[in-house]
Amino acid sequence: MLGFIIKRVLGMIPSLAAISVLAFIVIQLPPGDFVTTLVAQAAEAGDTIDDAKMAVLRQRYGVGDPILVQYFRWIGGILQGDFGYSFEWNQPVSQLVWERMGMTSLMSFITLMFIWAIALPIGIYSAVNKYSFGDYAATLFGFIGMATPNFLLAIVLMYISTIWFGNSVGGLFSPEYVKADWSLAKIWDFAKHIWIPVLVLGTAGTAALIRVMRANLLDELNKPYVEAARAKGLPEVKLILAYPVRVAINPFISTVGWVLPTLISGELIVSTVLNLPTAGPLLLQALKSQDMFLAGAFLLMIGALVLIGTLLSDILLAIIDPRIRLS
Amino acid sequence: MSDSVDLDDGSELLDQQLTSDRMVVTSQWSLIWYKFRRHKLAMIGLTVTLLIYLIAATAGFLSPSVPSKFQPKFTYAPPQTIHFFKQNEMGESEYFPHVLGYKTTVNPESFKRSYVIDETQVVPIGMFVKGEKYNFLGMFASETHLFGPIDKKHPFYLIGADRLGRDLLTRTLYGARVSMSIGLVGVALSLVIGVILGGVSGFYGGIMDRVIQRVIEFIRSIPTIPLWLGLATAMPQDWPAIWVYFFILIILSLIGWTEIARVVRGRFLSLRTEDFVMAARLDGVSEMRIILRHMMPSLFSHIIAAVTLAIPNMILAESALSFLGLGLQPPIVSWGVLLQDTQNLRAITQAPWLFVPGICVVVAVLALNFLGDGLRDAADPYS
Amino acid sequence: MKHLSYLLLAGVSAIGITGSAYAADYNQAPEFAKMVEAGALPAVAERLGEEPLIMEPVDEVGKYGGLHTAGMVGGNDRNMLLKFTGYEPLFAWDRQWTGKIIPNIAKSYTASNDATTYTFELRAGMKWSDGNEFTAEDIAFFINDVVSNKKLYPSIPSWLLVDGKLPEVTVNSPTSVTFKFSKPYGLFMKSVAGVFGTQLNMLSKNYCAQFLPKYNPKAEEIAAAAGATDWADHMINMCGVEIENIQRWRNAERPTLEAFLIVEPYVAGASQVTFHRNPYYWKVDPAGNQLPYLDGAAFTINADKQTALLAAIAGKTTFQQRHIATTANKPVLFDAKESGGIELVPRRVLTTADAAISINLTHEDPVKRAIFSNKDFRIALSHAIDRQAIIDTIYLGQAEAKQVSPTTDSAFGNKRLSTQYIEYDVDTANKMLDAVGLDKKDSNGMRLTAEGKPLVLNLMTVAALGSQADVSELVVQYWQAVGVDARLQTVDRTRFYEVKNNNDHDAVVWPGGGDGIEGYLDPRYLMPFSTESNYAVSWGKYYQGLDGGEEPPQAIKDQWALYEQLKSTADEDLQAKLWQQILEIAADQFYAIGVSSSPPGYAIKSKNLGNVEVNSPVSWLYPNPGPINSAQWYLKN
Repeated sequence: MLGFIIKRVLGMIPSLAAISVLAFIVIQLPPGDFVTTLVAQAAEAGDTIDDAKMAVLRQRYGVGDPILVQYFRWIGGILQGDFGYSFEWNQPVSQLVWERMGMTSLMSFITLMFIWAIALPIGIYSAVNKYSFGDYAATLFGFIGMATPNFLLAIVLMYISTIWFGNSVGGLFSPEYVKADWSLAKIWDFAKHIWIPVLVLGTAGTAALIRVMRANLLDELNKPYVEAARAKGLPEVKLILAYPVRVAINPFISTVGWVLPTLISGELIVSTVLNLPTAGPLLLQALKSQDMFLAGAFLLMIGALVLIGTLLSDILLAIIDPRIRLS
Repeated sequence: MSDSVDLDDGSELLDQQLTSDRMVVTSQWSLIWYKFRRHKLAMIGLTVTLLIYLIAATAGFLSPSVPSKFQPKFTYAPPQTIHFFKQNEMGESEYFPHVLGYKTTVNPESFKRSYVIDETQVVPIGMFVKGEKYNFLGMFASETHLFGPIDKKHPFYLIGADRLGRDLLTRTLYGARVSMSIGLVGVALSLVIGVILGGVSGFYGGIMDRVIQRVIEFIRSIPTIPLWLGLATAMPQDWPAIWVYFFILIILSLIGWTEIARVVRGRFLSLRTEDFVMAARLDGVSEMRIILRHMMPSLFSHIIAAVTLAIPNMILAESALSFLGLGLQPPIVSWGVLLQDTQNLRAITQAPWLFVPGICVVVAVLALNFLGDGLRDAADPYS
Repeated sequence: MKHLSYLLLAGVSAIGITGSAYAADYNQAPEFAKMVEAGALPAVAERLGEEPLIMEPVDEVGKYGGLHTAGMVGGNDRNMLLKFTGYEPLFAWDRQWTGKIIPNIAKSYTASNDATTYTFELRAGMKWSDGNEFTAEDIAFFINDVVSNKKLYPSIPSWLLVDGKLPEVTVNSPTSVTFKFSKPYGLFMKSVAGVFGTQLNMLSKNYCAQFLPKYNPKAEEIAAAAGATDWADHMINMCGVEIENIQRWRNAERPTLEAFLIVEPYVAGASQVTFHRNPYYWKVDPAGNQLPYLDGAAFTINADKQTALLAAIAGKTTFQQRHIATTANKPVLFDAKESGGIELVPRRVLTTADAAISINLTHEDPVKRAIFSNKDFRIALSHAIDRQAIIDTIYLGQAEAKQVSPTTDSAFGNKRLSTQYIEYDVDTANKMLDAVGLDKKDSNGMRLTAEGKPLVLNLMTVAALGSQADVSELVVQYWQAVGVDARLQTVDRTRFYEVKNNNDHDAVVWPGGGDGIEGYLDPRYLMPFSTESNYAVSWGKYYQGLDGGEEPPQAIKDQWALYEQLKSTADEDLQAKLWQQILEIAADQFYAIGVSSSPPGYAIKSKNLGNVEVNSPVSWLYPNPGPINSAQWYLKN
């Protein structure tokens, strides 16, 4: 088992390197740089930044060097835990990515659990009652969730939550709990806020998993051992849950690898609309204002989060299904 | 399979043949169609999809107005209902299709125009009316609209007006053009990349296969929105609208191809060892010909299914990008651009009809998904 | 030197009788009273100093308690904090921005007749928020050690420079300081009262000098220990240094003269920024209560404006104009008056035009330049716009058709500049366009240049602007109707600036600033003044001495000469006369095309919030609500 894990972790390294290159390319692509943004802001306020000051700023922010130099300086810094400097916030990036990434991970995890909790029973039901009204209804429900643009659902739910239920606007905590230590009251407050993003993201992700679960289970249900067990008089519920579901759940777990990227993509938009303290709003803002080190750090961390998620699902799978470890 | 009997109306015949329980030989396409037809949701999906594309193509004719036409006095006008009958002076009901005009008052304090339906103000409407000039199918100029007010100056807002008093129905219909075609053209691009790379990967195997597979795995592990955002911000924004459109297309298809490539590769791998391919190879047929003539046809149905399933993702992505202000921008009219208006709380509280393009997105995405799902199930008629 | 003295009473007769005689009568917030009792804080009279400013409240004497709440948007919103609590200049604008300046940190000033020398008298015993005395040395420290230091200020703010030189600052006594300019600077006091003037007394020498190598040989070591790149970086982190630096809203230790002290800093990742009242604030109400009344403030940080708007609707905002009080949101907020317990209070919007259309007169393409700089071409385009229809559509009829010009009913306005060429007249427009050589048309009816080439006019705007973007969308249609192939280009703000500052634009739409006094200090739409003069960025660069500048025609140089004269005189009548001459040239030149005035502005105020000045103006140089004194706001319940 340990050998398997080590092998998988080592396998992540080239992927991480590739992600870092890609992240750097993405943040380098936009023409202009953050200094232009600064000039735009200063000018809007009625001040002008002259060329001398722009040169000083460019020097301070390290833009203007050859691109390879910039990349290696960046990646070299990250290896030592220094993610560079956020131009917009005027503070080291490493001070601000961790907390936000923590929230993103937490939210992704909760949403994933929510999706599983919904998709698993519905998928089983759909497979067992193939082509029934319930199957169609479940499929339709899943697909409507997927087809509704996340941002629309988020805006409407936020409005309802604030105006009808009197919750604080957006965010993950009411103002009085933001700095408070964790307590039962804080968890309850958190629960009152987290349901909107989880619901919005969850509905977008369940459809695919329902389909996967349904298809896997259908394959299993057609196998002879099921017939045999049924012929022996095993109760139907026990029969399905005891064997086919357990087998069908393996590929289900392995879908984490591609559910996670989708979740995080959606999180970016939903968090911006709902003003959640996750990576999304900061990343979006950083991309827009060309705050390259901040954007780069988030892109890299999001890539890493996906890789870790995939790794965990692989390990989980290996625990459940020993064949994977051996092959 | 090439020497099978072609049946023009395969399905019906097939039904009879199956019920008569005779051995039959029928074409692959007929079998697919037969299987597909059994999938009720897929049939609905197919119908709706075709309908939406038809609407998109003829949007100019179907719309009562043109998307840029604004009317100062009717900003945020609520939807009207069509009345078919009117009481004449004698008190009898007669056929006279019309909508009722509005009585508007401007409240300077709330900065709002409020509308009351004005029973006295009858706006006669009709079919094939003269209205604003548009280009039919991009070929010839026309002024005839399928339906609309007899006098084009009269207000006619079946699903309401936007903030500049433009007809939302017209804008939504025109929006279908960009939104639906962005999916189609984007997928065409993905298809080219996907089939080539997937084909190479599956046909040759070995190191090529491993490299391409790693690339695909890698791309699929990247959350798409941040990547799109990064690429979209890179776009020179002084580009003309049409370039922006194509740039967005390219961005969207950069990721869309992986699924198609995966499907193509899988099929190639299994077909490679099939007898008919082996036979062709032994006959000394060139590799290109084997791929195009012998393997492609049996791949086709799978590709169509994969493509259909990729379109809705592109539609959703376009709307999300526009929503974030990084996709298409006015004056282009797409569903995503129209949905930018719903970012404002004003839409929720005062003009909920602005969400209609959102409903269109849902319907289109649903239809395409069901269609794709049905196609995927039917793609392998022998299973 | 003969001095012309101004007697300054500031409209508050009580100001003369402040001092220790009444010390026993001062009141303070209950929390401070407790701290004084516990010996944790000096007595209130000691904290206030000998001559606290007595501030007449807007309506009534308030009571202590409560928080001000509002919503910021994004990471670049530091000026929202500046406007709330950062406006503490030596002399301040009055609450209606009539142009009069009233004592603030300084209790009086004298100016020499030739407008070169200004002496300020400060308040005896006035203190920084850390309890140390505020003296003339602090002001001299800023001029001599901070702004003149290249590492802290790569370039010196232009409002402090006359003839390229900083003023000489002399400390006469702890409470008296003199600025001496090498040449006359008639607008100096207006600059002091403007937002940039707060710069002069932002830094406590006692605290900030420890970060300067000149005063502390260990400055570099301290910086290194704190993880900063050098001493300057560290000093900026600790002291803020520049009024617009985000760092000034981070260090809770930094002494300030402002009414509120930062508690939860404005850092990335924070979801709110909070303030608490300054125990050493040096203003009292006429009843002797130390201000501010409010305990503090809490600003949420929003990713998007909509959540800030929703907070206001849900009644979670006490006062806000920025970001959310737009015409588009007005109906939503109006409907929430009951549920949110809010009022919409009127605000004066000072714009020369709500949307100013600037056609690039200094275009790089010689063909376009010839056409665009032809005044008749621009007159024709102006006549082609149906201003009333646009006003009805976008402003619900609540704006007035006009060109880009200061408001006519003020002394700053000019009728001709404001009303020329505003009639909607398609025939005239077409005739004039034909006459300027654009009489050939293509098959779509779009005009061709004299060479027979298509003439495309890209009208660039920023979607986030709101009404200006909508105006652009309609203007494009009106121009197409007279055969000018105008095309709308919606870009983001950064891109907008990049394109236009490179002089790569055909035409842009942007809010027309520079009304009222602001026009004196920043006449961007009335003469090519800076890169903000979008119709002639190259000439603006030339005026500012920036790279890429281009020498303009004589008429514009004449205008500049008049403006130099205006700046140097302190005689207000002469200023007004020169101003009218500048406007006449602007009217002759017809730089930018205006559509209408701005619709009535407003701000959201909780019904519970008292002492808010209504109908006060909004402008960058009038950082509202700073000059309407948020320190005397109070919560009724």
